[in-house]
Amino acid sequence: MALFIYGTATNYGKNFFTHEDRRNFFLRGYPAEVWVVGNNEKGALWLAEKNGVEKTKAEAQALVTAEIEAGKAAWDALSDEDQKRRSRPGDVTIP
Amino acid sequence: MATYKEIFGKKVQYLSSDPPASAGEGQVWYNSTSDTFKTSLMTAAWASAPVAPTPKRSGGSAGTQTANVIWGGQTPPGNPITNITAEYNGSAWTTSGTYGASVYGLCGFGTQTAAIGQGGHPGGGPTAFEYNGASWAATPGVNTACSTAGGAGTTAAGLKFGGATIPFASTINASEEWTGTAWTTSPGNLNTGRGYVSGFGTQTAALGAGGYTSPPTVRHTSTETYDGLTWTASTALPIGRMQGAASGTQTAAFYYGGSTIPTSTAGDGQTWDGLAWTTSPASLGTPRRNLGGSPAGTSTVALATCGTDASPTDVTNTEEFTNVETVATITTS
Repeated sequence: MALFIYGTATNYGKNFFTHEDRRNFFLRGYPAEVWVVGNNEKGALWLAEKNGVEKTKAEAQALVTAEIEAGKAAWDALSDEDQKRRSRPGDVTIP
Repeated sequence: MATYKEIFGKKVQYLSSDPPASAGEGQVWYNSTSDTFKTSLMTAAWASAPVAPTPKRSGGSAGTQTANVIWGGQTPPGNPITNITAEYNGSAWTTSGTYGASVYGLCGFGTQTAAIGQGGHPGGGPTAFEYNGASWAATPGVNTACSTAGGAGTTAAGLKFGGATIPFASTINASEEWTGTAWTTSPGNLNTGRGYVSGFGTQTAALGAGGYTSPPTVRHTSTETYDGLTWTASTALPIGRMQGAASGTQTAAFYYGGSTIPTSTAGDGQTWDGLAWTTSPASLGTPRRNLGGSPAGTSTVALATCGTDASPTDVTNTEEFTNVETVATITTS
């Protein structure tokens, strides 16, 4: 069985995830509103209750990569001065 | 089969109600009311909280988890620099009086109703401003203009240390103490001058952790303590970190988020007990750097505000950290 469930959901703030959620299942946010959730009953229920849209791992990775690539392009377009002030985004691989 | 008493040397306590969680850590007891075995565990976790009014990074922050204030910073799109101030009361955000300058990468310390902001890019220079919970007023400037310095203390007895020149050409190791009316240069210098260093504690019992020098780009593991006169090197962080958030004191601190190598945007946290750093089992739901913290908070109750995620998008996310002892029921699963 896969370790994780993948999906997109909008973090609306309070109670989007609770301390109890964090103790009950793995949860980590990524760019493009991608969430990687532990593959158990509570994790799956959480994603469903947050109106999440389940994705395959490949689809979720593609969303993250597209966001990162957009960030790289934006960084490349910055002036030398601005580039010194912030680092170029690095590749992100979801688990 | 061996009994619990034969293994442990004591009988399991038979109690009609649970003892306080703080008294039960490491203990096992039988609760006769619920017919269950119980124990007490430290449980650390981050939970989402109401989003901030404006996404930003590298702003100032002060206060605790439930009485916090953030100001300044850069905001998307195009990263204009802002002077917006916003307060968080544990359940909602409200905007407040604007900061005295539009800057980012500034030093902040104090509480929600009595905070100091100092320096920052691009025009912060030596300026400093004091917040009274409603508005910011200019104070006398510091002796060495800087950005990205660490801060500690209060509006009556504060400290700023380290940082970088403006623009970011070289790092600074000097420290200055705020007396409530003026900045005075301390005889104590950081052993390792660095920008984006995080500060904890008070004017006479401070902690500085992590930080950044460039070029070449180095995320520092340095941990140093200050006694009001001198900085002393202490146990290093497990990995170099910069642009993280701070909560706690010189002897009980929590340093979280930020930028590390190889993870440029970190979600983990490090807990300091006065002697050594321990990696917290809890991680931010949204890993990020350049976030706001709760410098007047504790190592067990902290706040993470805004910051930059890995893409890098400036975010409004707020998260609340608690590391508390709770009574747990022992099950077979």
